[in-house]
Amino acid sequence: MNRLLRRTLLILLGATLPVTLLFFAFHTRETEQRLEVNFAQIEAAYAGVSMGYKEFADVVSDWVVGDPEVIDLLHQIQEGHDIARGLLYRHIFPLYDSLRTKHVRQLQFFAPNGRSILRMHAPERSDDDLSHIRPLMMRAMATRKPTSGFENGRLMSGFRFCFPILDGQNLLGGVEVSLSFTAIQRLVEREVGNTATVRFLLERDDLMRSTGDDLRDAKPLFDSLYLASALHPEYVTENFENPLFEEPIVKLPNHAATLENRIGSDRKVTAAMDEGEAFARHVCNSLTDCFFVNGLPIHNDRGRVSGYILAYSRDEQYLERGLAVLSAFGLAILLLVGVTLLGVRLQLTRQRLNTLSEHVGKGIYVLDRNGNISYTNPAASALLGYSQEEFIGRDAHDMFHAYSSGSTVSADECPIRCVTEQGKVFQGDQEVFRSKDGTHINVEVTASPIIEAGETVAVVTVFADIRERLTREQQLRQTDAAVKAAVEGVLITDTQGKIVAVNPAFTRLTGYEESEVIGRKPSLLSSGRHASEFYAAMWQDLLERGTWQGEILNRRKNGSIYPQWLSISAIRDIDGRATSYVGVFNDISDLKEKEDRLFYLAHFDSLTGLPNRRLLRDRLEHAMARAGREDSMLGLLFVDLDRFKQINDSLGHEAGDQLICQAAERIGDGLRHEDTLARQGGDEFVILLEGLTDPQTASVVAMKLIDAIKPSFRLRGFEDQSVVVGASIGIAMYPQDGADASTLLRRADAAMYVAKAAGGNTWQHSNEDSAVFAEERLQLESELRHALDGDELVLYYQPKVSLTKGIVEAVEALIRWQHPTRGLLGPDKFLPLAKESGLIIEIGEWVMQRAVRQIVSWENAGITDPRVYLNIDGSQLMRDEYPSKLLDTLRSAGISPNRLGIEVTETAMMGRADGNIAALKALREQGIALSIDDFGTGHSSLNRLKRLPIDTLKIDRSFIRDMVDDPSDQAIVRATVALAQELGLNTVAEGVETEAQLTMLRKMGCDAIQGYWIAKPMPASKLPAWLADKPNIETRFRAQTPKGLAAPAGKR
Amino acid sequence: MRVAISLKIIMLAAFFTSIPARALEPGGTIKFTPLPMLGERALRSQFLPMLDYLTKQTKIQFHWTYIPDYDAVIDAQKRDEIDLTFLGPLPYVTLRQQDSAFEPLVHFRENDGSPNYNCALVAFGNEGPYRATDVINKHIGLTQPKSTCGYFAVSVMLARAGRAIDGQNNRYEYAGGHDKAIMGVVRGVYDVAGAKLAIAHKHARLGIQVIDQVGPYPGFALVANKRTMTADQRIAIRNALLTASRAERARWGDPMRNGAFSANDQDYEALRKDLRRLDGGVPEEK
Repeated sequence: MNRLLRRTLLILLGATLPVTLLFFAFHTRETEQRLEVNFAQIEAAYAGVSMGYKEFADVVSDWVVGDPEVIDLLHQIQEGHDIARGLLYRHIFPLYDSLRTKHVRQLQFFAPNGRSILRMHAPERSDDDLSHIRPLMMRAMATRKPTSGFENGRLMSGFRFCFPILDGQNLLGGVEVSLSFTAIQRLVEREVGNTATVRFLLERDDLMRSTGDDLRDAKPLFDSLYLASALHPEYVTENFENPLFEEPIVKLPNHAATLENRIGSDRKVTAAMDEGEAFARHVCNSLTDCFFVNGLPIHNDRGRVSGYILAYSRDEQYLERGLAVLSAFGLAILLLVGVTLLGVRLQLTRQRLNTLSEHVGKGIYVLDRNGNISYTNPAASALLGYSQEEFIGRDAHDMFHAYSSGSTVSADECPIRCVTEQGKVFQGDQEVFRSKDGTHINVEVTASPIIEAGETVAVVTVFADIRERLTREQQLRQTDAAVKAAVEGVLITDTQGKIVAVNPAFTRLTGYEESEVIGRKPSLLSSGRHASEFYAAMWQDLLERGTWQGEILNRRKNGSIYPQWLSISAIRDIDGRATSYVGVFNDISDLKEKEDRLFYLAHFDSLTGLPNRRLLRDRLEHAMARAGREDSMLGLLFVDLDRFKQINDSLGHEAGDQLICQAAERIGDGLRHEDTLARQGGDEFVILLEGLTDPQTASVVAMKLIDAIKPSFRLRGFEDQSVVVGASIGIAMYPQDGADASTLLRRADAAMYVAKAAGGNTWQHSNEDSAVFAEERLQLESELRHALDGDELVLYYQPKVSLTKGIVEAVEALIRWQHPTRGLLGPDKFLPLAKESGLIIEIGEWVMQRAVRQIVSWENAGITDPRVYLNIDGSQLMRDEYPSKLLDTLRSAGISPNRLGIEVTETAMMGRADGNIAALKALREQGIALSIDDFGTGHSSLNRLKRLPIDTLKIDRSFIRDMVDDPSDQAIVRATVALAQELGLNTVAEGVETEAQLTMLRKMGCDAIQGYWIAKPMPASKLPAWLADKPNIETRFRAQTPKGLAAPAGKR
Repeated sequence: MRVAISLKIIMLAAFFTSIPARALEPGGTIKFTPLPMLGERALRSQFLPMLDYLTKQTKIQFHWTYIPDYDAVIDAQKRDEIDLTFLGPLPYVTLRQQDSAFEPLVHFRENDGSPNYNCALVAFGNEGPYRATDVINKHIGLTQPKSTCGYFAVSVMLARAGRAIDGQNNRYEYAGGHDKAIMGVVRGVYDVAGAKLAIAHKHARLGIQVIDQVGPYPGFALVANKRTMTADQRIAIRNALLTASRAERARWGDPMRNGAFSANDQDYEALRKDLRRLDGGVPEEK
């Protein structure tokens, strides 16, 4: 293509150049012709004027020459009569005077010897010899024939007409009539036209010679009379400003000076003037200021060039001619370009056809009029496997036409041939060609006959392998079937957003039939629930990325709104332009419901329906942000139900749940709509008060809540029981007590613990102390976890001694914490925390494992007594697997259950579900002793008590401590002992520290005691040594048994 | 004392003798106006070369003013609107009569080199009149008003002959110049005419006869207005003109190119004397 373009440009350039030159030459020639015409005009004008004046001069001369008086006077002058001269002047003056009006400058009479007889223009001068400067005159007299011509003179150069004056044969002299240049100039200008300016240039040397004076003297005069010409240094012009010329000054046009300067630098003009030849130039000062400049040489009588007539004629039509030529040139170029382009186009077309033919992916073969192949393209060879040479001259049908519409056909029946022979175009895609290697190729064929003069001279057949297309079509059909069968709704739009196709699932999901939506826009499905920005963002994504997917609410035909998961993709053509959009969607209503359900479950407490801690935190953070903007306070109330654990342990989880729900309801009733009540977990609630202006408001709310909780609760299944709980409330304020949710919760929680530590049923604002308390508690909890892993927990053992036998019958395992910095911590320092944090389970597990190991260790040391009692928390007892786990542990350790006992608080034991009592029974039946610890501090049901598989009631130390002095305690202890005796249970008094207590207990019939009076809890390592001192113990007991004390009542 | 006087004399002598040899360059600007004897173009071509020369020599700038009316020129002179002018003898005498502030600086020589010129009364050939006394009932051609050889000289010559220019049935007419007046006689327009003798002689070959003459009168002069020109300026101009070379003068107009010589008022006594002879003086004619 580039080569063709280059060649075309070269051809164009090559053609343009001569055309340009031709037009330029034409224009130049026309100008030259006009110049020639102008020159001829000038020449003719000059000749005409000259001739006219000659004729005029002839008339004048006839008048003068033939005048007898003139003859007579000339005779007299020749005889020396000066007065005759005057008379001649007088006689000729009228004629001369009239001649001056015709621009005749001079009229002069000459003597035959060339001397001046009379100058009419300067009568005072005469008799001077002019023979050498009046050659014309001298010739006229010599030849006795008139002469005329250009001649320079001393003062006047011009055209002279000289006539001899004869008297018969006697030459008397001559008369000369001289015309000034002005006269000739004006007449020539008039002849040529008003636009002409005529000047005369005089040859300097010839002129100077004509002055007739000494050159040295004449030069100043000469310089004042004549001006140098810009055209040629050897030529001058008359300076009419010099009054000697007596000519009116005609101002030279401005263009003349410019032209003369330009022409003066023209070498050709200079050369022509050097040679005394005429010249003609066309000179332009600008496109609209052009002149024909013609210079005609004027020859004197000797044939020398004495001067030039210079004529400037304005070329008025130069621009017009130029424009005309330019227009013609332009047209010619256009025509040339057009022809060239046409030729190029034809060439390109041919090339393109050849290129197409050679490079098109389709096979092309041409059949001649005989039906044989005359041309194939490379694609035909590539498709069919034959070389071009193998094709030429062969019959196409026989060579490779295998099937037509699935059947073999003969050459005569070949549809391609049949149709084209009729002069028609065959088109079909049911043909199968056979390649050289026998492969069958499904082809699409177009065969076009080329008809010239009504006869088919060739057939051009184009064929393409359509196997891929057929495969794709098959795939498309399959895809189409898949789309139709899809359960997802499919929607296809064009680029204008109009629906062009939908599948049956679309109808099923939306309710719209295909016919109802084709041509419409998907906005008909709009639910109106989304803002315009939503759809704008969707389209933005589609345009930028070609895809969008997301959840959208749409409307069915019946008006119901449902959630969809919609995926839209752009279908692009090979250039990447979107040609259509496909939307695939599912009805995710069920999914949404599940999501909602999950969300609910994730954010709400299943028991109470209150926001759970996750949702609370989220609301808290938002509330904090709002409070920050509004410059208001938040109050965070951490509510913990007092004694809930006891209730839960005693009455069971179902009762506990009812209590939680009723408490939540009571708490919620006391809040505003904008407040948030959340269940933190267990028996803990958190209340978020927004928009507070004063921390006291939170206190008031807390107080109200405490009052609301105070009345007893009626629980289903326990209607006969009055369940009373309290509330410990910790209050943290935002922003005073913390700037983030975690800090506020922690501070409120800490304040709650302070309130609980203060006895409960109160509230406590977070302060530094509670914050410290919370920090310490948090720290302690962390340390406790570490203690559990770091083996910092230890078991101490405290003996129980039988009052009747005076022997150590058991030891109670008491947990201690060997804190790395705080030293040995008693269980009161960390067990409440363990219960709160849930570590109690792990601790209980640890205690069980450690105690069992210790028992093994003692047995290995030969210490087979006493029974080891473990304290079991109610929460452990609530776990169904605990009994079996305990037995498994014993079994694994090889320890008899008889070595073990468990102590459970009264409350925990009473809260044990009936179903679990059987488990306890099983433990007891295995030999594990069961004791109710801290008896008297809980809510015991006698009916239940009698059914419990217990062995021992441990009287709480609080009754023992003051029993010596407090009759009430005495009564309680006595009653407890009596009860136990009635139920066949043993009693153990805790916290015996004095002999008086001992004595009293013995008197009451208590079975055993435990306390500092016997021994403080000791490490396991020390117990063997203490047990070895058994005689000492018995001695102490016997010593302490006063006479007269009744033996304790016998045991069951 | 004696020595002092001698010294003074010597110094004065040195001063005065040194004047001609010293070129004065007084500078300044002088308004020059010639009499309108010719057209302005002709007058400019006549005088400007000389004025250029004077500027170079004296550093005086000459401001050219052309006044087409003779009387207006005189009036302008008297009003000190003109500093320097070119006057014939009769116009000078007339002016000087009215205003003594005017002083001739130089006279210009005639073409033949003479310092003076005569006026002639001419006739044609042998047609008569032959003498001034024959001028009766004649048509007299005069050069132009204010011309010395015009009314004045012809009147003097006729008066001497007992004739009157406008008496004895004579009539006069201004031809417009010496040549024209003479050629008028040649052509037969006038019977007699007054003109410069030298010019009359030039036309002798045409049959012109001089029947009477008067003079000599001084030639044209450069006349300065003493009121408006400094002495240095006048001296400088005079000196420059007196010392102009031939080659320089060849560039000047015809009246000045033949050289100049120093002028003074006494040169005009002959003319004054003849003028007194005329009873009516010279008429004011336009």
